[in-house]
Amino acid sequence: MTRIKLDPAGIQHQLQAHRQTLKQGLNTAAKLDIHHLPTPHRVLMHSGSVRLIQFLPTTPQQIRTPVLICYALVNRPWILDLSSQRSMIRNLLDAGVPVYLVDWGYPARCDRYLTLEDYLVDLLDRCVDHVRQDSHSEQINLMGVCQGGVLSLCYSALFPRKIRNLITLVTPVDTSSPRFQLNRLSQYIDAGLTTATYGNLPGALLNELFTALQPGRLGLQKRLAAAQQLDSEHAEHYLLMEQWLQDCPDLAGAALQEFIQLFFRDNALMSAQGFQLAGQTLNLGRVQMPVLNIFGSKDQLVPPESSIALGARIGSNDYTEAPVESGHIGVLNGRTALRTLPSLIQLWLKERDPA
Amino acid sequence: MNEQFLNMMRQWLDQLEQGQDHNAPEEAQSSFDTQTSSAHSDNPSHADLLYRLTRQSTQFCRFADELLSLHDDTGSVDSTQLLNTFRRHLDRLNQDWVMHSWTLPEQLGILLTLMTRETPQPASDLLTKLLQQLLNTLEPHTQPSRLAQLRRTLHQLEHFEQARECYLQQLTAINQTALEHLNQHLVKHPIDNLDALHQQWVDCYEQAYQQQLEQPEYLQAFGNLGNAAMALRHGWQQQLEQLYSACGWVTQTQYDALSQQHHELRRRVRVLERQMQQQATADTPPTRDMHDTD
Repeated sequence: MTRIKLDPAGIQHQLQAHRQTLKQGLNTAAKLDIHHLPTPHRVLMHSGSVRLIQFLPTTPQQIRTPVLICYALVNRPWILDLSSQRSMIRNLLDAGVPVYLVDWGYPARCDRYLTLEDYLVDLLDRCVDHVRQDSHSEQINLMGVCQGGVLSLCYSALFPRKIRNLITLVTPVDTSSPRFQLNRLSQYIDAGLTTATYGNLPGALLNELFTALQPGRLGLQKRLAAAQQLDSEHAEHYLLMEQWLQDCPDLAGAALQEFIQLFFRDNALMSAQGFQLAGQTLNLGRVQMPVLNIFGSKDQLVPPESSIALGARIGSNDYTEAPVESGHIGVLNGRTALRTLPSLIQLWLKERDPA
Repeated sequence: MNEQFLNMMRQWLDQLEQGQDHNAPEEAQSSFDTQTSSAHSDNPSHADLLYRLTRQSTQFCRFADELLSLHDDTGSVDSTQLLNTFRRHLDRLNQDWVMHSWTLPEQLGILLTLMTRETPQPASDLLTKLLQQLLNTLEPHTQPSRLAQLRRTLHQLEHFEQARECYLQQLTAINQTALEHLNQHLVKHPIDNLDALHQQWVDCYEQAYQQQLEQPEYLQAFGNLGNAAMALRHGWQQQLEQLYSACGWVTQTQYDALSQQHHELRRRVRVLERQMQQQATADTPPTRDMHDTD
């Protein structure tokens, strides 16, 4: 029989302290009035649950061609504008970059038949045309985030003349990487049954799937650290982040089913022969505009090798990679990324802006 | 957040602090459940968020209390006892995780959760038996088509239980591996810090979990559980649809069919809009895009 040494008094003390911290943390949290306050903006277009937003400039424009951010259908885009202190969008505006955003909203039950073609050829294309019209610019710069990066790559292959430059952030390209756990974990889930059962995949279920990638860290460790976070000066930021993490819209059933089949199971972006989408055979060779590919070197959701694979597949001769030393969310909202990326993007765009 | 909800939180924490025996935290937890649910009408999203953030803390405190009760006069614990306590704690977390991860039909989900608390045997076994008894009672008085539906549900419930058992076995195997690693660590390092113990556990667990994630058996078990839960929910919905239909209400299937027609019309309108746009700008060639390559 092995005996393990224990410090009962110390543990009792810690337990009391943990309870006390939890109590104080909840008191603090309860008093906080947490609301997301977005950077000033106007809504240019509404279509179903989709909104096209223009952020109001904060400084004279340094780039002529506007940037349209195409966020993922998963989660909400306000991680890019979490608070006035932590906002990629505000920092881009401050660098003189005109910024528009596609907000996909919350698909309703009646949106379950929205296909990828609808998202690309109808909704995203409408947004692009509105931005071109509003900015009096023949072309736009498209910036796709995560799954939005995949949509942006497809859109750029479909409508190459409308896109001057393409920026991809934490975008999964090669999903066959052994470290791309999301694909592995979902490989036996029947996507057809998911759609038949739910219509749209509930956001809460998707959140569970993300947690199942690292249940010890994301499901347990993080939750137990909550008390300390709530009882600190960072409580407001922490709660905002948690609100954002829980703010997970449902995913339109038909589009999700297509997305899983094409980009997860068929690894379509890596196919040299191309893949069928929106009535055409697409492949990344058709993406010939300049591309800036930003990824997190510590990203565990979209591992770096999955994003880097883009370089070998696109048709562009002007391809730049920009690693950021952070994880998936860190690239969008981390201190390092917020300090370095806006100026990097501004400079990269300026060099490619029309004279 | 209003004062009423704040008071509820305080009451719950006071109860938690007073709860020194093993059952008290559970009572405090259920009290918190009651309080938060009654607070939903005031600020549901904030209450939900705080509940999610803190409910595992109560389980952790319960584990720490159990751990403290194990030590002897020399300030040491038997490693077997310690690991068994840890295992019980983890089993509860696993059950909780599985029940919360896959949303069953609400009525079944609530029943299963309640029965899991009440009985040591698998709750869905008990539920299956109850449903089978119900079927036997109904059989002489119920339409064959309705009975066939109920039998399908029963079959799906059994299938779900098998998938859940299979997945729990996978989680138990992960826990076992992680506990062995933890034990090796604890023999060399005394427990003088709860947070360090917990951190060590998380490291051991993640290592074991990531190894298991490489195994096709785990992925298959995970997928099967999800599919079984969805099949159960899908079958349940189909039964509800029949009831709605019998009452003359619009069913979800009918609503979906209308949505589908709406989307088809929307696509046709979009094509017409494009054609009109191209006609209007016939003199000035439009930007080349996908349509040029048709």
